[in-house]
Amino acid sequence: MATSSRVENDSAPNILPTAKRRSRAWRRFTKNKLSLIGAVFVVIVVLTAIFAREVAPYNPLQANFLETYQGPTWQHLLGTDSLGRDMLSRIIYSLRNACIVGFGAEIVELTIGLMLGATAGYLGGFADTILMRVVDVVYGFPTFLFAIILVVMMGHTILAILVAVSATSWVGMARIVRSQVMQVRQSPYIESARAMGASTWQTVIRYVLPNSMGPVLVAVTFGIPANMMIEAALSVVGLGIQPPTPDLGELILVGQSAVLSYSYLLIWPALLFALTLLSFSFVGDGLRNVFDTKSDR
Amino acid sequence: MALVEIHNLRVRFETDEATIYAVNGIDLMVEPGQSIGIVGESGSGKSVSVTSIPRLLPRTARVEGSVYFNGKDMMRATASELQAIRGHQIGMIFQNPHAYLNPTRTIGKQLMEPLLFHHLAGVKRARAMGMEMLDRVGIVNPKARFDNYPFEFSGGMLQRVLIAMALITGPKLVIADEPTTALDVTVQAQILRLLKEMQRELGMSMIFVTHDLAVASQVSDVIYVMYGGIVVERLPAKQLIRVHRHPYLSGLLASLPRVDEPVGRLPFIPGLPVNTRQPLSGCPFYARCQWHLDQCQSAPPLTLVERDHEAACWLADERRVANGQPS
Amino acid sequence: MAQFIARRFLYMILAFVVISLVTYFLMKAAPGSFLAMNVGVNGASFGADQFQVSPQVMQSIINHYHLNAPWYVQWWGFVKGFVTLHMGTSFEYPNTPTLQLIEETFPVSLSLALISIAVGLAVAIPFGIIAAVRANSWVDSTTMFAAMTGTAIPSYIIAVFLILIFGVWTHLFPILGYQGAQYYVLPVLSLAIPMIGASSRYLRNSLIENLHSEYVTAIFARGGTLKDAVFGNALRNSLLPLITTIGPLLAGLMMGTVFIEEMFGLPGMGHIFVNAAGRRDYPLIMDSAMLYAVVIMIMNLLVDIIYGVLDPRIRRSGRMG
Repeated sequence: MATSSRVENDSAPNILPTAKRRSRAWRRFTKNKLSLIGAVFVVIVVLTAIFAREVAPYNPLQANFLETYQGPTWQHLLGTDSLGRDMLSRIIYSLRNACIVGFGAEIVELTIGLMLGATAGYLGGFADTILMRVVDVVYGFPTFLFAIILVVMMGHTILAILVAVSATSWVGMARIVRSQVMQVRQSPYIESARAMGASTWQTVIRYVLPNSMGPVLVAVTFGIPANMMIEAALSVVGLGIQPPTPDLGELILVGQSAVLSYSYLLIWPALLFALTLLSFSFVGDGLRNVFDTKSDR
Repeated sequence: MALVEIHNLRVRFETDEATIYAVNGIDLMVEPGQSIGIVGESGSGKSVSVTSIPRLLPRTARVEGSVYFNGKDMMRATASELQAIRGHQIGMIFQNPHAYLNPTRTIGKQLMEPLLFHHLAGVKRARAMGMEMLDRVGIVNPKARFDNYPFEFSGGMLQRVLIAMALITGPKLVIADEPTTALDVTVQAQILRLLKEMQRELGMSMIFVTHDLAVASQVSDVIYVMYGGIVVERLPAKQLIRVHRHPYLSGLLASLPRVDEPVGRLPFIPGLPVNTRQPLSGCPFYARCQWHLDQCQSAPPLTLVERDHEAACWLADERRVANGQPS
Repeated sequence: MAQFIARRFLYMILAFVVISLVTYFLMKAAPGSFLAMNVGVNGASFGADQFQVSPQVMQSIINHYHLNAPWYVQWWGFVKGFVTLHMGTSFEYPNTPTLQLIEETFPVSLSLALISIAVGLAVAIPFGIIAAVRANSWVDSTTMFAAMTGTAIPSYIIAVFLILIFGVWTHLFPILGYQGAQYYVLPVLSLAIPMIGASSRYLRNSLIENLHSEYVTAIFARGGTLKDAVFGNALRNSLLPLITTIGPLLAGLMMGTVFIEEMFGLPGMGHIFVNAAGRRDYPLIMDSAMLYAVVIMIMNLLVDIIYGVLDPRIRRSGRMG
């Protein structure tokens, strides 16, 4: 009975040559076409965010009182808002904010999570107990309220939002790294590396971390859109980046107030944001197929 | 008529990355009341072979050949026909009792299931029968133990429960898939004795799968030795030590440690087990065999060397002479 | 079991202390915070000028919030007031005691979260089962695609689409305010849909894993049908871990109510908190942060206790995990 699962023992370190491993990973990733489409869309969004200045047709802050509430036209592909500002440009700049916070906060989370998680997972004992207690406390945190409080206290700048978003979410990353490191640490090949005289930090950096990277990478891919969601949610309640700087949450808030007369103001930001978040999810799912053998069945 | 008749059974598993050729054409026959031992190392296809009798292999398995149980063509049986046979006429005992019991259901509830699934008894009677069965397999205080959960039992006790569960419907055949491998040696002996007793008492047939030659010869009448997904030798258990023919079996027997000899280097069979990712061609033991010939590139058929004794080796006859073994 | 609960309760108290301390210091560190005012040097009249209130009012504020005392007295003042339900009034709502404010608005938020989770589970469980039993069929892939879409998109975006579909294009449900049950429909759906996605996916994967496990093979070997395997055994074993996800889910939903209330104009606690935060109403921020923390922790504890009672391995041995 167990023959089928005994066949492929993926918990063992990868012994396949790198090239073969890569092609297999690519095959698994592209098995679901949505992952590929998602990846393409993510790349487009990120490039648009980076080159917002070049891509956006108008200055997002430029009001034009002669052209307020215009539906989609050739001049303004997605129309204009109550002040005659170009919606497409505002959305592009909003995505830029979302990307800065999404990626920026993820880098912060990853750094803290890797350091604390690896330490706790590898050393175990007291260090581990402390980390797990911190995790317990943060799980009791009203996280979104906490983010709001932080932003209010630090001022509504993009840096404040970045800090507020990463302040509690690093915990999840630390937990994943910890459990991965614990798993890898107990495997025989780490023991043999230690038996051959590798020091603690050598084993962590050379063997343990690279072999725990799969689930971490998946968590990162899901973490970025999660950060974007919090960032936009802060401006949905009016406490994120302050107007006139465009932000997805603010576009939604404003669009909703005018929804009965000008629903296009609401549809486009919501749709593009939803697509961005979905794309990240598809990529994350593809990566999960690459790394997670459990879903292979 | 034989109770179980397997002819040219082939099983392969198809996954995204590879095809595993687990069983490469075996014949097997079990008479009513007979006890069969199947011996082989892990990966030899012994578990897969017996699991295909009640058709319990996972969906990824591709099964070919014919399997008859009690005259019924199991390969063509419908799902509900199979369901009616499983647990009623065929009882199964597995290797690791902890894994094969639902951790969140009491022993008693799971023990009654074969009776309830097949409408052989009402809950009240099933309960009584369950307790009686627990008593018979040697569980002390069955009344109290009935409502315990699996984690409250030791491995040996749990294996007794699994035996009770397999036998509670009085099946015609019991398939024991390495039932003692996960247990302590002393417990192992108790379980073997219990199984043998129950088999005789209930007059049923048994297929006993193990990697342990000694265990197989204790509980079975006929022994099938499997290697690389085929049967390489079939012989009466009593003759095991005296007249084996296949070099693999000779190697296995030679590598058994003995207490009555001075301790030296244990002999072993050099080489690696068969790669099951390729279809079998020729003798599976070819690469590890010290006597191999060019002829062995084509598969030797299982041929009768004497009464009730078959071996799949081109040298089955000659080697007996060469080794100077008595016939 | 009792020991487990007692230990968890101790952690809860510890977590509460940490959370209240962190919130307190954040507020004190904020630029222009009244908590950081040096009353001893400048006196009540300075504060009165700064906050544009009469010196008498300022004096009572100083007394009430122990502005003359060291930080731990101030902090303890907040915590004691919260624990003994003597929270006084806040800056933004001087005429309504904070306790009354909570009593009026918090039930809206809590019921929103609880109804959402009930609706969510009621939908997620059957879909998860169907997807798992028909694994890899079109039913499965459709359900899982919908689940993934729902999970990936936050409730406020779901809310946008619901508003457009049901409020603007078909006028089936009201999209603003609160005057009856139909005003709950869209907010509840907005919160429930992402949760349905996450839960049905979780249940499906867990059920499939169970159905592939050895004990289910053993059930088939005993002559059980797929129905016996699912409903007699595997479903229970998959619902058990699903229970453990409800704690974090509820916490997430409680947070979700904050912006959902804002979008649909519901008079809940989240709305009050957002107002308090926007206007720097420190006492109200402090009290509502502590309230949400306590509620989230109590829910987590309840969920763990329920899990412990339902899982015989924990019930009988008294150990968790």
